[in-house]
Amino acid sequence: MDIQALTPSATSRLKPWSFEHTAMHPKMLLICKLFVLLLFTHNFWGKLVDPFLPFIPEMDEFRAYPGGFKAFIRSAYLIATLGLVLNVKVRTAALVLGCTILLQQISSKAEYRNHLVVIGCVLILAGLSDRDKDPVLIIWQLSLIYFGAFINKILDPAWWDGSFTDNWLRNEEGVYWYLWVTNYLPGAWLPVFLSWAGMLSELLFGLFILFKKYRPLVFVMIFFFHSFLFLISMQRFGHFYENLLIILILSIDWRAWPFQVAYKKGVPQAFRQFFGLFDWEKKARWTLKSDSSLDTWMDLKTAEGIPYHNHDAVRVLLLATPAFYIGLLGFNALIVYFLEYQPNLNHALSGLIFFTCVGYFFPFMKAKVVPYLAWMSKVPRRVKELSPWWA
Amino acid sequence: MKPKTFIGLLFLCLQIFGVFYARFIPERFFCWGPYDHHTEFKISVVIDGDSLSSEEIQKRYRYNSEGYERRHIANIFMIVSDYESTYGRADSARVHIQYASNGNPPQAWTFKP
Repeated sequence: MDIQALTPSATSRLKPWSFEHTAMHPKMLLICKLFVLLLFTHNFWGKLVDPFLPFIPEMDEFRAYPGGFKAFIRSAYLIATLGLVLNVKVRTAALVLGCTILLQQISSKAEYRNHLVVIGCVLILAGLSDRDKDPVLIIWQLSLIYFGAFINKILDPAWWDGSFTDNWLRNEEGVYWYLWVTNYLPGAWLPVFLSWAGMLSELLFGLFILFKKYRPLVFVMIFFFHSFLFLISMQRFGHFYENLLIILILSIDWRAWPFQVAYKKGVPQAFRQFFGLFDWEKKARWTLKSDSSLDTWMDLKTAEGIPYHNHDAVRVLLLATPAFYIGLLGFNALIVYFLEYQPNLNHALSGLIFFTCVGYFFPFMKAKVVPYLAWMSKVPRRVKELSPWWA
Repeated sequence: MKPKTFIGLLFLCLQIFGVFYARFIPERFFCWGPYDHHTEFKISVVIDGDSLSSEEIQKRYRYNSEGYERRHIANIFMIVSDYESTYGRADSARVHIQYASNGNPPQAWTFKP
């Protein structure tokens, strides 16, 4: 047997639509490629220029050679991007792209943006992660982001009395619901509550994400926390919201394929054609159900032998299809680009996508949260059992 | 431990240092303090008795000349003072920043050559 033919690079190299058989886990490669798309849609290329007020003063030496630094950093960006897109040395490409972003950030204080630093850090750590092990470095990175944010807030008195939140939602954003609700509540109750809820959430995320046992719950909570923040404030914080959603792909159960999909006679051909169109790696093998009982209209069995039925089968198919995520991000980019000056329509469409996705995938989210709810339901009984001791 | 894991840990430790170091300086760069302040500000620049327009100020610092700053206002002070101490030193510009953080009364910051 030709061993070369089985090596990862030989099977996926120069195939942009391929996410399997590389030196990275498919989920990690998908995250990296989505970051590439995000950077492209936000014209990161245009931000790669000569140093301007760099954090390291020595970088000003490059100004003696106008265009030199710009040519260097743009070349690195282009090569790393092509590497990731074409599946050539993907880990090295992620590492180089991450370093390029951080270099651009270090080269200009005026261009410093937290949402770009996040991408740079995650790409570097993705390049340093093993394919078949837990991406603990990225988990620690997330923990650090939340701890850092918590420490910055808790040491600032403007967060204790809610004055930051009130000034932000009242004066800058003029958030209608906030102004309305604060009228019915005493004093600064609402901004104080929102401030402390935000700080406490960040502390808990930073802490509990470190424990593998609680990680699925924390991922779901992070998703709702940032989505709630986006929905109430209409702020994406640069593209920080998109960054987080992309990183949360880590929490998705990536099912082993090929999938055996059996469909009932009568399932529209267009439905199968739709999935076939975006199933770039031919993960699904469709067959007509031979069983005459036909109590389900679609059955899916993963390569591990896990069965799913009806909408659960469709959910698994969607979550295992990179085109689904690329499509969502592309649609989001179109909304941001074309509706930049129509914030209400922008917000309404983004909200519609959010609620549609949450509504459809809610059973999967619930499945991740239910074990913890069961545990929490036992808490009162356990406390009661303890009460004679501490009463 | 694999060398790449060690490098990854070192990289994370560097960030922890950034969070720790930020406790001793007013600026908030590389410390994961993304949106912790809210300041309304306006920059005015006078060179040789002439005031620069909003567009000229934006071009000079590659930064908005007025609006809301979502990070610590000290970040803007640093950008302005670094520019005026280096690239713009020959202009002997007088820079005045009027700002109000988190709904507090307005304050002023001035850079004199």
